[in-house]
Amino acid sequence: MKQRSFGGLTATASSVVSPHWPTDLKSLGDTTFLPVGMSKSYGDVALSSGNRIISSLGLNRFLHWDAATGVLECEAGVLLSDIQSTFVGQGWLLPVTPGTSFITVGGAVANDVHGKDHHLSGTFGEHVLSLQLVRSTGEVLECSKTSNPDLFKATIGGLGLTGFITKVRLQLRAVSGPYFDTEVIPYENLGEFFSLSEATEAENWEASVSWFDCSTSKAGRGSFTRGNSSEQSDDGVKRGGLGVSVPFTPPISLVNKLTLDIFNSGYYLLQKRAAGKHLTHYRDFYYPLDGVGNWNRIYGPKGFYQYQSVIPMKDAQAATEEMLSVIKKSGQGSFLAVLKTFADREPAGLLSFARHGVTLALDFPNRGQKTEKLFAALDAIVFEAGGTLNPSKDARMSREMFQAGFPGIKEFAKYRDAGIVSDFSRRVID
Amino acid sequence: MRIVVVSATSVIAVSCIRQWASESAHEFELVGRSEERLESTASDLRIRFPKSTFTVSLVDFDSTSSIAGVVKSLSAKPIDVVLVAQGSLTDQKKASNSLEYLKSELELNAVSVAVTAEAFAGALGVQGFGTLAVIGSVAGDRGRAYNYSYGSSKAMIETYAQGLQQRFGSSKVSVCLIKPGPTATPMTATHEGKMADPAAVAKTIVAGIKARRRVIYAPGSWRLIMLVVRMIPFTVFKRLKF
Repeated sequence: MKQRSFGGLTATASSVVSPHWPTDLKSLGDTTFLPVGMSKSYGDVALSSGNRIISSLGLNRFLHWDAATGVLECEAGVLLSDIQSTFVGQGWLLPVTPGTSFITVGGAVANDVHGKDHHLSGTFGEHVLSLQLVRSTGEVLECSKTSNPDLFKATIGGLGLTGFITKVRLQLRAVSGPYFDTEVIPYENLGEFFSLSEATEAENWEASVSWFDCSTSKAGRGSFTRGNSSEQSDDGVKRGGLGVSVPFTPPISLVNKLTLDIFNSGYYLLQKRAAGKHLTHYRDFYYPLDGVGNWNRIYGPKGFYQYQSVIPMKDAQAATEEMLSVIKKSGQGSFLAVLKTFADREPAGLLSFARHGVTLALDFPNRGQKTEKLFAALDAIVFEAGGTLNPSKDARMSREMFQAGFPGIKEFAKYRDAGIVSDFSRRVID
Repeated sequence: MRIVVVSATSVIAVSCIRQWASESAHEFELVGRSEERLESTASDLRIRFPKSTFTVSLVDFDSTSSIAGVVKSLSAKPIDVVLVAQGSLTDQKKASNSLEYLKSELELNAVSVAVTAEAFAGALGVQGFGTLAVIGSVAGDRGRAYNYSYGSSKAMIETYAQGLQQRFGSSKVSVCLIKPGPTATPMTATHEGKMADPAAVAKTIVAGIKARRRVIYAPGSWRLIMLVVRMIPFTVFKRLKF
């Protein structure tokens, strides 16, 4: 059965099964497999050519909820959007969420996802109290900081390679309501971005992110957004996204030099006009793109790549300036260039991507060799500065780059489930 | 409303319950074969919808006295809607090779549905109002080599529902036949092709029941598709591979 990743990579799995009850997992290890959720990973961590795909989407029940402590136990196929909309009314939200809510809890654990709130809350894995793992041998293991702690740490950010996560116990975060007090601050160059980031961390803002222009002659300018959970609960605020969808895949990418310059200039002006303080619903704050269904289709049948790097703080500004100049020179700008800082925290998982430094995420239409050449140039800068790339976005980094960026991989081998293989693991690990 | 859902752990049933409960608070009676699955489904629903209530009852579809007993105890209080949702997607090849398997599938998909529907129809007739909704399938609209065991069970349900509709034609009891197209459920997990999203199917079903529609195709586009399929002359139909 054909699989397609979010970025447009394809693979042919031998079969896809969708267990709906824990008892359906008994014959898990009959053939080599890969556990998969919503398949929103850009590259190949959720693809497994020639193997069985076991979907977690049928296991989507809440198992236990304690409204006093905010501890939720649920099956791995529950979507983050479900958690947010169910518990926000009771004053609880996920402490960490990435830019889309249409992913599963199992996927969020396996990729140890991060979001705008890294300073306050770190990564998703930091809020997992315990989880249940079914191994291909049929063994069922409860994992937490006290029970099977090493396997627990390997499973957080373990890209699904340590077993099938069946259920997860999560600590939610108490909030006053569904709104955020937000502030949008336009900036003219990367230097300003770095001082804004520093000030934002010093002032203990809960969440921050920034968009920047990397294609026009004024590249380097951008807009910085930060927010704190709000006491206000004005229900008259417009929200809920655009509610539109890209109905089909156009024959060619709609993202090219011309549309990029128009978009980047236009978006900058819009952001400039939006400068100042606002009251923003959590859906608009966390998930602006969830309102546009299938937005990845705009890149056409060849799909696109996301290049997400993290670079240690020390050389971050110089390296980011250099990457920006390489991108500008290549003429292959990015629609959604996102820049943010990660705080200095102990990583939750053995292979966690988020680490102290600056992360840059760029989307590029797949233009074959031209794009590969640009990536090679960017890789060199990232590697030189001691940085690495995000596996859940990656489709092409070299084995050397992965192994250097994730030194935990040697230790990880001890906890790997021999019955699980992904196209990503074949490419850079096995 | 007080809503009884038979085979409440099936994906379409759960999706309908989630749709109803997200619209407003109701009193749900969940009926099914497995206590473990019913309890797990009920716990999930209680967390999602704290304003609604969920009670669990066990039934054995092979036993008419079990079915009658459940109907009797549930109809002690007025019932607004009954949704009958049991079914199993028969593997036609297996059914052709094992008469035992064929018989047990027909018993679940046709006999148990008719018996359950009849028992609840009696209770609704006594109370004088309410909606009985039964899940059939687009597969019942025309027999096909690919799935005629399943399809014929669903065709029987259709005729049964038509009879009930005429019987209650001049009363306040309404009978509604639901015909989902292929939907992404455990029954179809190994099937290729485009499957409808159960949440979208449930939305159509719940709206149709509210409007007291006689036949609900879900998604609605299947009404037209099946009209065309039924009109294809047999001489052409027999050569088709679908």
